[in-house]
Amino acid sequence: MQRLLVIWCPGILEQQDHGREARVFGAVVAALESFATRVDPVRPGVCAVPTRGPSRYFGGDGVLATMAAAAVAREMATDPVAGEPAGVGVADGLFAAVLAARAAVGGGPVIVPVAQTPSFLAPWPVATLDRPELVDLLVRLGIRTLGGFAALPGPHVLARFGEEGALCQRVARGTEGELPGFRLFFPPVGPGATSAGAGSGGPAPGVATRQVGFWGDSADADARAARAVAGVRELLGPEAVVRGRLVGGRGPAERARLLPWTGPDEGGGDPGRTRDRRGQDRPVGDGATSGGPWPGQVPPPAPVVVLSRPRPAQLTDAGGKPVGVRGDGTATAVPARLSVAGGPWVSVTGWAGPWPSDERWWSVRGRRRQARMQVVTAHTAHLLTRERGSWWLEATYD
Amino acid sequence: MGPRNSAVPTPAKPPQQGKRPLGSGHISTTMAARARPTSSSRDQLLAVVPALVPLFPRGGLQRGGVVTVGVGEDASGVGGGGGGGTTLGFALLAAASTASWCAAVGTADPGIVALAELGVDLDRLVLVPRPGPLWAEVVAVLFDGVDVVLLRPPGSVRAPVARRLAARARERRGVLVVLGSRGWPEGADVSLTVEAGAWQGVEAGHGHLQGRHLEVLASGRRAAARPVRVGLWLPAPSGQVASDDTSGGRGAQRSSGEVEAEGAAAARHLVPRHP
Repeated sequence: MQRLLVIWCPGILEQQDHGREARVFGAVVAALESFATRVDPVRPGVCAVPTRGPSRYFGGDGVLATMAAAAVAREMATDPVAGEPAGVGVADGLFAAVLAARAAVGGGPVIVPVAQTPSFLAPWPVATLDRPELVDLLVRLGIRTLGGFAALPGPHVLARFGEEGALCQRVARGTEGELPGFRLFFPPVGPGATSAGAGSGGPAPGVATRQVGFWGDSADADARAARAVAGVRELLGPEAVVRGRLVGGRGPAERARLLPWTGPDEGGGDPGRTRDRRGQDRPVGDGATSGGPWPGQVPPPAPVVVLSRPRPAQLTDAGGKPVGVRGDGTATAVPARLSVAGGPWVSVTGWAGPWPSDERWWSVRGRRRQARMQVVTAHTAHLLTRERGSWWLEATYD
Repeated sequence: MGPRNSAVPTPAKPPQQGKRPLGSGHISTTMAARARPTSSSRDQLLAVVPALVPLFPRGGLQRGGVVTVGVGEDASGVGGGGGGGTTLGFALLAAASTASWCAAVGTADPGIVALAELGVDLDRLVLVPRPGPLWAEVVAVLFDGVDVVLLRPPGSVRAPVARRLAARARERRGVLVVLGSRGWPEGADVSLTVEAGAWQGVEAGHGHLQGRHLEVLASGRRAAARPVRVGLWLPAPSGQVASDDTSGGRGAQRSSGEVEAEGAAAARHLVPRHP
């Protein structure tokens, strides 16, 4: 589950002076973007920062939260009405992080230690699930806290409350990160946005349309795209729609991320604002020079298919002897045949590498990679990874 | 600016090339320009990068149409993968994504770095990698707000579904690009087939993959009925698409003033704003 820092701005959630709230919220987001690589506006008055990179870079969630609180307080001070003091919270998953931020309003940041989300959630009232009918039933059953709801047997909850109830229980148990419908698309755009936020008591449509201005020029095209994406998410669920983003790293899988769709980004309407920083080849939280070459990086062009789950592969020489990689990074034999996942053997017509790839702490999957090799077969080319004494198909140059 | 590797011919008109030294690994998404022509949304054509202009009778993706991208029998790798179809499919989105929203449905494991190198604007690309059985519905919904949908169907498409999606693209003035033409039962306005491809730069243990030279056959209905064969670097060492000098003449046969104007327009879109 993603660890998030959430800023909760009560004044912006509740104020009705839309232009002013939008301006202050925009300033808050911009202030966070000055040191966090990614800031996701979740809904008016709420934004989330994935802490993984920045916390490592700045020295922990506590440091990051303090920086965020100071930055937000500076912006809030510019408008005493909309700028009611904000809360800063850090936890695993959006739901817990929002509650942590709510708990932090009027005090210092609230940081829920890693893996302690369930115990943090337990005492909160079930009403925080924001599902009035479900909450009503639970209260009549005598269940008033998330902890009590979490303790109910899962199959019973599914039978009694259906899929939605089961999902809410997973959220209460801390095994699911967020409630569906909590996020609003940015820029929120009238009917599409309100249906995306249905059931969560989102702000009136007027709020949504009025906000378009500051989030980019948000031409019709961006609004239509947001609605289309909302439609797909309704069909398939919120995780089904993703976007690509570049980060630093060596292998193709490490140099990019697929992130859940949160809305049209800057939309290009205000290119000077954050585009450079957010769209560029910028390593997350590793302190490397932006855009610099990475030692051990596979040279371009990059493979157009990068497997989310590498497949086991066998690589042998002409005599059928497995090809390995020596400690000095050279191949133990000349690759001649390749088989992927037990499939048919194909001839290797060319190969390059192996290139050593040290284990580094920013490695995405935290695995030890020994080397990578490019292998050309009859009509395509592959990138193989040597790991724990085996070859894996990592990517294909289709 | 950057040194180019002599192993691969330099394309004649590389609007985005020379941005970085080979092997530096630096990628700029902003090379896909931010310039967004205000008139483009009303135009009948969506731009393609200059190297791909000769594949299309009007020099770009015709709104309301269907384009299929397939790999010929002798260019297909074992198991159907490889051959260059995926690269060509995403390359078709590169210029369009600088001005229009694009989506890719069913391309399960997209290489994001490669897409950026091809010039696809990641901020305007909606990815639905695993749509499951509702893939056709997903495509239909996306056309409500997305101009180009790149679709890799899960297998053979039933004719009524194909007709419905083609009608949807026509109705919404979008462009449907289908990866894997063998599974598409209907005709296409433009049908692209990768006929042969060969990777350059790798020998026994030396070098690294630098580029792939391939030939693409374009055929289709109406204006595209006369087949055209174009040689391409897909990708070129930079990761972008480059035309092949030796076949430029053949591709140009179908060119007209309109096509050249379109190509020039596409080139303008791709001029980097951040040097």
